[in-house]
Amino acid sequence: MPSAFDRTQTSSSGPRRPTPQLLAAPDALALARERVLLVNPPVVDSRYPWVKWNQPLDLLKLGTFLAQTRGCEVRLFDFMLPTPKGTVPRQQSRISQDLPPGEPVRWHYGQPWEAFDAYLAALAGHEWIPDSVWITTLTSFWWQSVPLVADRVKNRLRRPFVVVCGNYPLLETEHAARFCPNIDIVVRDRVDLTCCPPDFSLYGKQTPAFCALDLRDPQPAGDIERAMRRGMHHFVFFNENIFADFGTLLKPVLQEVVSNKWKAWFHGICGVETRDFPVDDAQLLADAHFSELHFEPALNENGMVDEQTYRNVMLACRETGIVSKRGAGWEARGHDISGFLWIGQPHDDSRELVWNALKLLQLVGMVIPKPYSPTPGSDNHAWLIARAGEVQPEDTSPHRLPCAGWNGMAKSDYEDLYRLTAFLNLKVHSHTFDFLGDTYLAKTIRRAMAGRRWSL
Amino acid sequence: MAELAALDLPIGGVAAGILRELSGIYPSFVSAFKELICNAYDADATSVTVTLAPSQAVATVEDNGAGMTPFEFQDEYLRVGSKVQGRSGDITAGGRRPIGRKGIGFLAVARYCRQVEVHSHAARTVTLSENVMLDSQASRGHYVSASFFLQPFAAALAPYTTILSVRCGAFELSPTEYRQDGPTIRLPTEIWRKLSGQTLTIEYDVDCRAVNLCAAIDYQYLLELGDDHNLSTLPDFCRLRLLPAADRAAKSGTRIVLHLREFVQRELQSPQRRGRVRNLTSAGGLHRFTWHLSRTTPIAYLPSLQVLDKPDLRVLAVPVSPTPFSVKVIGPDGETRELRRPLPNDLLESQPDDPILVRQPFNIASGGLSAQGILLGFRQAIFPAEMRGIAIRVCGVEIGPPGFLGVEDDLPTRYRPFLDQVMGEVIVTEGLDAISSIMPGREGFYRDGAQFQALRKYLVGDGDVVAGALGEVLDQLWKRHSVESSVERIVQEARRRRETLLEVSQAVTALSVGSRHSRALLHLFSRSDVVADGLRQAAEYRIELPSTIEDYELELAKLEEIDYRIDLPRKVVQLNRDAESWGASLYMLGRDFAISLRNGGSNAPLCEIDLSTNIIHLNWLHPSRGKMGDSTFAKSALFWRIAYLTADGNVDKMMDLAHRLLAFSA
Repeated sequence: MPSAFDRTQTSSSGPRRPTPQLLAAPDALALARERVLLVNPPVVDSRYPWVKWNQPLDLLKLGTFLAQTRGCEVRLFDFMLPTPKGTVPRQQSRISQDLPPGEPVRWHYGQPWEAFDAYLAALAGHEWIPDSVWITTLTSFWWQSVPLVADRVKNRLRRPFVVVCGNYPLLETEHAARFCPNIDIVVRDRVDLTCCPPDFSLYGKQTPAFCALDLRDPQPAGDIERAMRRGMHHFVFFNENIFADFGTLLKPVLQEVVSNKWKAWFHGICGVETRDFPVDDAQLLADAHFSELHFEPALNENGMVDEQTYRNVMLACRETGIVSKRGAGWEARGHDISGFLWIGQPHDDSRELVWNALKLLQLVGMVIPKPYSPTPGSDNHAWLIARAGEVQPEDTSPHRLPCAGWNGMAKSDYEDLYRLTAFLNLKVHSHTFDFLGDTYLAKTIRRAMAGRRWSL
Repeated sequence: MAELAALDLPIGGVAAGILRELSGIYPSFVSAFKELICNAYDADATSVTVTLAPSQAVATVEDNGAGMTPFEFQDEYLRVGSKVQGRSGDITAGGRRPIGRKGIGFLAVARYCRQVEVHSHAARTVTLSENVMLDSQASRGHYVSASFFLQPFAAALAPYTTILSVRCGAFELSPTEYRQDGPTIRLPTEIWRKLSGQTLTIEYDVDCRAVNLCAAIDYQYLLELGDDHNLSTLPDFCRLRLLPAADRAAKSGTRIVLHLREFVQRELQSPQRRGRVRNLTSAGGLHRFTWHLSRTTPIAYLPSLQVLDKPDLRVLAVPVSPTPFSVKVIGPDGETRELRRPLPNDLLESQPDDPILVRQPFNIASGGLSAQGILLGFRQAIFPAEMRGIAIRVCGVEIGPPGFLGVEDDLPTRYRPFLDQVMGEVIVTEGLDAISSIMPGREGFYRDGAQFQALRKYLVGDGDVVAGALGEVLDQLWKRHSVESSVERIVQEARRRRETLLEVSQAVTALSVGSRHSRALLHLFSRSDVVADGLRQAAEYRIELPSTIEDYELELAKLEEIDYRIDLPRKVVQLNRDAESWGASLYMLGRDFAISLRNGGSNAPLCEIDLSTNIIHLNWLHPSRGKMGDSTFAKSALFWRIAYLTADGNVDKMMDLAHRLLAFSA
């Protein structure tokens, strides 16, 4: 009986798979024609604690650019848009099946694929077929959903050309060209959209829970005002250091907020550089309703927490009322205040990490371990490759602690550290130690908490 | 303004118990209320305004019809079983076929009101005649007087009464031979003696323009009476007052004020049920009231039908009256709505496709019956449900609720599900005029008439329901449903096939980004040296049409937002050429494959992927497809083929990849 597989012949001629074009941002933008669909893809990872703060600021700005300069009709599908209840859906991902035993499962964060399929079917049904689909990437290690998005739009929307932009093609250009065969254009550099304000009208009738801002925009205060008109009152600056050039960037924005008595709340979830904290202008931050501050690590030359810097910052915060002292820790008005602590770096030392964690707990009241991901092309990335060999972008996800094991600390050590910080944060915040009062003994115990007397 | 007269009027010789029975004829408030509208129509009114007080305790009906003279009020309105006067044959002065003439008059709303006030002005002169017997006992003196105007309100109307002629047999007295003194005639004694023992016929005019009628009828009192009560002796059931008209040039009209009972008020105030409301039973009380009123009064569909732009429904726009007739309702909120005959929801909501599938207009002319109308078969069940069935309208008024003339149980089972999709209307323009012989609300009386039987035979056949017009509509709906089911099956199969192919692509893409086969898969899809020549030689598989539509032609057409359209008369099924489900190509890892279904049979491979031409061949007539089902078969065939090509001879690798691909889309 003939086999079902025995009639395949080989030939050396015929169509070959087209490979993606690597284009600079201006060249890629020049290809945008009448209708453009922007997609913020889902995230596939084992953890994503900051999921509700995912907003495709670059796509929102790109939407403005394409509409204003190219006259395009632009629409957006944001997988990461929280539901009206404020949650981002999560389900077990079906990609990344080759996980070694003991590895945490990979989750698909964001709207399910079925929602995207239905959206595409609706577009097709209403004869709104985009000429091009732009998929952004917040990080290089979340690239895996990009080909899946591209597969869907190619099959359901009569083959528009698909562009991938953002950090993945920027940092992993070659990888994108090789592993994303259904992408037509890989934008190999950053699209400069400094002059474009974000276009929140792309969300249509939906109102995102917060509004991402870029301090380099021409008029961030104008962006705030426009967003408030759309019913958004919570704001986050997506800048690497929100206090950089404070006098010309953040300060005027906050002054306008205060002088206009806008009902705006600011969340410092990223870029809150502790060293650059404007101690002298802390009152302005308080008046402008900075309700959440997560301080980036400030370490001295020995890799230890720079206590004086944190003390100054916290003092300014306390004096201006940004935070009020309560119990054993510090508490922001209504929201969180914490200090980030890098973990999973190539040269981590467990004793230093624990000491720094306890110190931050004492100084700030809450410590949040911040797992590290080596940026492709950086020295630390080269350090990792030198030890681990070939590293796939998804393996550099900070939640996989890519340097763990190679730096002398096992992943289990980091898990212990997570547990410790979680335990202490909980104890401090639930005022477990408050019963001690202000006696000499109480002060000694608090000092002990911040000292090296813990048996870990 | 000083009253000209105030009288208490009795009711003519019917027992109280019978009156109570008669007042119960109308099963609902709206069915009784509609009689007031119909009365206005019969009075040649062109405009009727119904006003509901904010409290809904009082309802007012005001019309610009002919109004009522005191005589008509007493002799017709208050008299049970009276015959309406002043009409020539079956046509009113305004040329309308009257709806009323039931002789129920004031009793229609008795059950639903505590009291009714009637205000009326008739801008006309009434000519009456009276016979006066000349007594042989002549009085002394020069003149003898005799009263000719004997009505209770004679004295009040005396100033407006003028004798026109006085006759005694063939002999007519000249005006100089008598004198009028209000409601009495005075004759010289010699003439009286000459005519004594004979009867004088006196014809006289009463100018009713001078008076306004104002009456209050106490139903509460009437309905509480004992059965054996003598109504003719009731002193104060109805109080009539005649008032001098302020303006003798005022136009005629009637205003009836109803003081509603509490249960009627509650019914009108009942709120709409929560959620989406499609049927009348769930609607608010006021909406139900106006809806039913619009179905049971002689108002037109227009301009609703003009707005609809459905020329084939114009058959329903038969003018009910030769003169305009409109009814406005001013609700408790003060908003004015003009009553229009309602249409089904589906016709009023914009839809991509015509909600009406079958139209069966008809004209009937036999045995004195003349009717026209249309039966409509809808795509879906009709809402509100109260519109389902055939409505028969005589003089513009619906006879009872719509129905299927009692044939529901006689229908073949296959037709019964479609009854919810059928509505129709028969507009009787001549004949079937049983109004004078039936009681309102007892429409069953029609059934005995020969004309109704003829109409019934046309609509639902004579014994064989299928032979009637309704049967034809149901048959077309059923046929359409059968065809639709078959086409839907084809579309669903195509849709499933398409979804299957997309799942294959997604599985392959997912494994190319997150598995140990990533590189091998990408390598395979970068090749162009894989050629298939087994299935390529096989005949192309053609989709077979099910037997129910094998005589139909399939056309690909550009259809907006729908997958297909069925043209029953032409026997054509149009499929939306742009629908994704018909897509015969698949984009996978950067390559655009054409999908080719082949008739390879049991010895040919399940699937071949030709990377030199970008064609995927599927052996669609392989026996395993029947056992596995289309979706599983297509997936298995493609996955195994891809795994085989990717593994490049490594069986373990092939098995592992195939297992993962199958597991991904399981």
